[in-house]
Amino acid sequence: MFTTGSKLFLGATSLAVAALVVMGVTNAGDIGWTATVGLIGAVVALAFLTGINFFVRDGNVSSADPANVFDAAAAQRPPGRSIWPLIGAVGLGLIVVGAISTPVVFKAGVVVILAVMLEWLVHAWSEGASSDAAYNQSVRQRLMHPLEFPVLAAVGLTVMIYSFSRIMLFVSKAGSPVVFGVLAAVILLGGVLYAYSPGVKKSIAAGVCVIAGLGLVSTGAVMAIDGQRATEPHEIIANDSSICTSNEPTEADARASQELAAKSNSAAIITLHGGKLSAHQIAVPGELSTITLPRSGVSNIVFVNDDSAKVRLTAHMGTFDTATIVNGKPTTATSITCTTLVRQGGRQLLTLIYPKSSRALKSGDAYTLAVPGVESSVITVVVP
Amino acid sequence: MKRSKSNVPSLQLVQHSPRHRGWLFGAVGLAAAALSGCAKNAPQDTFDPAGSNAQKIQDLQVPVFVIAGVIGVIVLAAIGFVVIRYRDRGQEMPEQSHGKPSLEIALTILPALILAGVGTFTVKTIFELAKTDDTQCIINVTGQQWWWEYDYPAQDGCGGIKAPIVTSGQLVIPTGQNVLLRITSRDVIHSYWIPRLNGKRDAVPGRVQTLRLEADQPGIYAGQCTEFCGLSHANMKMEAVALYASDFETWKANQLEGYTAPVDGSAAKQGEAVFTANCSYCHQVNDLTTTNAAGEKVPVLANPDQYIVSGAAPNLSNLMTRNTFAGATWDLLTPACRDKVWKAVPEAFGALYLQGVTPECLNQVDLREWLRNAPAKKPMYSSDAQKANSGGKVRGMPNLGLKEDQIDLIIAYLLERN
Ligand code: HEC
Ligand SMILES: [Cu+2]
Repeated sequence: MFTTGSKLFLGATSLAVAALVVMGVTNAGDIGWTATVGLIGAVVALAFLTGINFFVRDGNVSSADPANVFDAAAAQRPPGRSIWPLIGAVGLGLIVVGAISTPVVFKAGVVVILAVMLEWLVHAWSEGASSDAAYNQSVRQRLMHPLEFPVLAAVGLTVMIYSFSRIMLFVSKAGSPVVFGVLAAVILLGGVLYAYSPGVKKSIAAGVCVIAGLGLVSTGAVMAIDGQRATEPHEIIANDSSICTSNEPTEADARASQELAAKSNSAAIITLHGGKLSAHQIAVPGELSTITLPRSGVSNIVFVNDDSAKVRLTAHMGTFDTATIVNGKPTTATSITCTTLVRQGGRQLLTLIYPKSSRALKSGDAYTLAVPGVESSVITVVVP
Repeated sequence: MKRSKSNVPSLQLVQHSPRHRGWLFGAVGLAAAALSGCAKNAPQDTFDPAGSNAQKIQDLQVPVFVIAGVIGVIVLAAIGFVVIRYRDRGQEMPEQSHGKPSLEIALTILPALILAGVGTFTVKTIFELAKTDDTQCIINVTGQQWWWEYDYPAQDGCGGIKAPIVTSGQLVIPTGQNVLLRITSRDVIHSYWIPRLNGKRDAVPGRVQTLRLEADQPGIYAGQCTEFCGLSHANMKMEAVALYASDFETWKANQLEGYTAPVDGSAAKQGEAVFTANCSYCHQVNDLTTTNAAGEKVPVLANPDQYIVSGAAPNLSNLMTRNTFAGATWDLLTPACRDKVWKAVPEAFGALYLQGVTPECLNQVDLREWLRNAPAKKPMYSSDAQKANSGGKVRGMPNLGLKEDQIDLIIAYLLERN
C-alpha cells in the first residue's frame, strides 16, 4: 500500500520528528529558533512530500493491474534524451576542482548541481505528464521558461561584464578607450552589415556571435589570470620591537582581518576590558593573571579587545644568550611578537611556541602577554 | 584452549554424518570466540568502569548493547525462519501482494522510537561527560612521539599546588576528585584513553581538549595512545595512578622537594657528571647545577627543542617515583616488586606506590637495555640517517653509545632521583 517513494519520505519525516524530540529533550525544550524553524520546516516539507508521493502512487501504476501498464501515460514512451546528467557531471567536476582550489568554483558547482536537480526533476516529470509528447514539451516550457530566461540572461550578462572588466583592467589606462572604441565600432559595423544584407543566413550570424562570445570570455579569462596585480606579501610581525611596543598602525594592521577561524579550543583567551587584561583558559575556573602554556608545543592565544582604542597584544618571549660572543660575553637577544591592531570587538590570534621552560629565564625576566600602553595589567606566562 | 577440548569426544560421535560437521565447526568457532571474550587479565576493559565518568558510559552502553543484541537475535531468527520455512520445495507460487500498511507503519515507528530513545540518552551522556564546571583538579597533558607528559600547573585545585610539577608516563591523581585533563600534542595527533576511567580524547597540536577523570579507588589504571602516531605508536602507553588524598599530598610534596645532590665520592656523584655530560641536554633534572668555565655555579638546563622533533624529553627529576618508563612500556620494578604494588588491595596500594623504586626493586635488565641502545628496545626514529630526514632532529631517544661502566654510574645516579 505504501509506495517506495512515500516510504522514503515517511522515514525521513520520522527522522526529523525524532531529531526534534531528541533535541528538545536534551536541551530542556530550549533549542533556539533556527533549530525549531529548521526542524519543523523539515517535518512539514517531508510530510508533504510523503503525502504527494502517496497520493500519486509515486507516479506509478499498480503492477498488480497489468491492464494499466499499457494505458498509463507514463508507459507510452521510454524517457527521452537528457542533457542534465552531462551538465550535472560538469557541476560535480566544478565542486571537486573548487574543493581543492578556489571556493568560488566550489560554489559555482553547487549552484550548477542545484539547477540540474531542478531542471532534471521537471524534465523527468514532464515526460510522463501525458501521452502527448508535444503537450509535455509545452508544459515543461511553460513551467521553466519564466525561470530559465532571466537566469540565463543574468548569467550571460555577468560573464560578459566580468570578461570586459578583466580586459579593461589588463589593458593600460590609455589603451582601453582605443581598444573599446575600435571594438564598439566593429560591432556597430557588423550590425549595420547584417541589417542591410537580408540574404545572410541566420545560422551564420549566430555562428559569428558565438565565436565572438567565446573570444570575449577566453580573452577575459586569460587576462584575469595574467593581469592580476601582484598580491602583497603577508607581513609577519615578529621580533620587531618597534612595531610590537606601540600601537602605531602599519600596513599589516590596515589589512588585518578581525575574523578568526580558530575560535575554540585555544590555549587561552586574553581580553582587554576597561583597561585591564584578563586571561581565560578552557576549564580553568576564574579570570587569570597567570597562565600555564606547554613548552615546545603550539599555543594559540585569542586576543579580544573590548575597549575603544585600537591596540595589539604583545608577547614577550624572553631574553636569552646567543651564540655570538662579544668581549668574552655572549650577546643577548630578546624575542618578541605581537598581533596586528585589534579594533573594538575584534579578535586576533597569536600563535606561540615557547622552546624553553620558565626556569631558563634570566633572573628578573618573565614571559608576558601585554598591551602596549596598558602597563599596569600584564598576563604572566608560566612554561613548566 | 582447555575448555574447547571437551568438544573432542562429540567430534568422534558425529563422524558418520558429515552433514552435521558444518554445524559443529560453527559451534566450536562460536564457543571459542565467546570464551576468548572472557579474558581475566584485561586491564583495559571498557566494561569494567572504575570511576563516575566510565560508569556513565557503562550505564549507556550496556542497555544499548542489550537492546541491539535482542533486536539482532530477533532479526536473525526471523530471517532463518523465513529462509527455512519458505524455501523452494517446488510448491505453487503464492498469491502476490504489495505491502501491508499497518506492519509498515509499525516497522517504521518502532525503530524510530528505539533510536530516539538511544539518541536521547547518548546525547545526554555526551553532554554530561563534556562538563568542566565541577573540576577540582587540573592537569595539562601533552602527547608526543611516543610518550605522555603531565604538568600540574600551580593552582588551588588538587589540594593546592604551589609550583608546577612535571612528570611523564604515569598520571598521578587523587581518588574521588573530578580531575580535568587539558590535552594537547607537540607533534602529531595522539589520543588519550584510560578505558576504565573514561572514553578517548584526541591530542591535537594547537588545540586544547578536555577529558574528565575520576577514580573511586586507589590503584593503577592502564591505557594507551589510540590514534596512530608513527613508528612506536604501539609502545605509547600510559597509566593513571589513583592515590587517597593524603597519599596524593605526600606524592606532591615529594615531587616538589628540591634537588638532593649525591654524596661526594659516591658512584652516584660520578654518575651525576656522566648524566650532565650525556643526558642533560635533553632531559631536565630540576635544580641540577654545574660549574662553568668561570668557576660559577650555573643551573643545568635541558634544550630538547634543539635535538628532538617534538622539542621535549621526559623530566627525570623524580624518575624513581614512577613504576614504568619510556611510554609506560617497561617496568622500573622487578616482576616480584611490581606484582606487590599492582596487585595490592586499595587500602595498601598508596603506601606501596609511594615507596617508588628502591635499589633492590629496580628492574636493571630493561633500564640497562634502554641506556645501552634505546632505539633497539623501542623503535624510534633517531639514528643519524633518520635524523637527517627529520631536519637534523631525532624522534625518541638516540643510541648514545655509552660504555657499561658509564651505565653503572648513571644507574647509581638515577636511583637517587626519587
Ligand atoms: C637526544 C635527546 C636525548 C638524550 C641525549 C637522552 N635522552 Fe633519554 N629520552 C629521550 C626521549 C625523547 C625519551 C622518550 C622516549 C620515549 O619514551 O618514547 C627518553 C626517555 C628516557 C627515559 C625514560 C623516561 C620516562 O619517564 O619514561 C630514561 C630513563 C632516559 N631517557 C634516560 C636517559 C639517560 C640516562 C640519558 C643519558 C645517558 C639520556 N636519556 C639521554 C631523549 C634523550
Ligand atoms: Cu601516540
